[in-house]
Amino acid sequence: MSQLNDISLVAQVVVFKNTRAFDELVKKYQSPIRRFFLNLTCGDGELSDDLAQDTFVKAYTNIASFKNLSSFSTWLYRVAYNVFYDYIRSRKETTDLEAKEIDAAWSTEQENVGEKMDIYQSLKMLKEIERTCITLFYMEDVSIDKIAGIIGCPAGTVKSHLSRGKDKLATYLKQNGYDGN
Amino acid sequence: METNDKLLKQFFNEQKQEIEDNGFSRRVMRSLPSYSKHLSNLWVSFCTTIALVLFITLNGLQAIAGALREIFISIMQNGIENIDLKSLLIAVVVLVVLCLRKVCSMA
Repeated sequence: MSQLNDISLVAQVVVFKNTRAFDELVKKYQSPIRRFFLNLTCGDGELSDDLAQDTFVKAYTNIASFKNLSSFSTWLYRVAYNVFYDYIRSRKETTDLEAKEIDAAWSTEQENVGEKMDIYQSLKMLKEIERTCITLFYMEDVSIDKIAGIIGCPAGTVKSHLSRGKDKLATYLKQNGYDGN
Repeated sequence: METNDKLLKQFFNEQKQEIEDNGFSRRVMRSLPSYSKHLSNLWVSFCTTIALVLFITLNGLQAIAGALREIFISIMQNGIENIDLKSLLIAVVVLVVLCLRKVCSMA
């Protein structure tokens, strides 16, 4: 039902350039998309909102390319992931840092042992691609096949990223005294 | 492995929260390309309407006709021989160039 409603709204945007229909889509998906970026940027609210805004503007300008092969939310996550990837690439060009250096730098930030468990602090442990897979799978309840479609790689690769990310996170959580109780 | 999975599911469920809109959708809608174009079209229409209303209420047509008549009369009174043909030619060329540029920009 929700998916049908999405398709109807998308059709109104494509055919009639109906901005009200697009406004409804923005209102419906602003929370998951902003939350997705908040997790990817490890809690940078301002950057997350800028990236989320870019995502919706890109979705609006390219909405005719949505072919209904996947659900609208999957397509929107794909746009969001591309926006994030473009941002990462531009940041790497300006800072001239290798991904490994960033990941290594972030993975050493484990000072809050014993403090209140912070999701963003724990996500900093992961590489960007692992963070993307973990966030989509555990936070946004997206299936492995859909994640593969979003990040554009085989399902097996997604499983590997998920497995590595899961091990790192679980170890980190346990080390910090989180046992789920 | 299963325990890790359970642990992470529970951790993310506890951390999951809905984010309030707080004007975000409005900000997005304002930044849409067609929205700004729409606003610019509205502004142009508004200005054109105001200009037309002022033109009609202030007898614009009559003012233009009066100005042209005065120019014609002054030319006739001073004599055609006093007209500087060089200046007239430059003015005509400038006007033609401006018109062409306007037409090109509208195309």
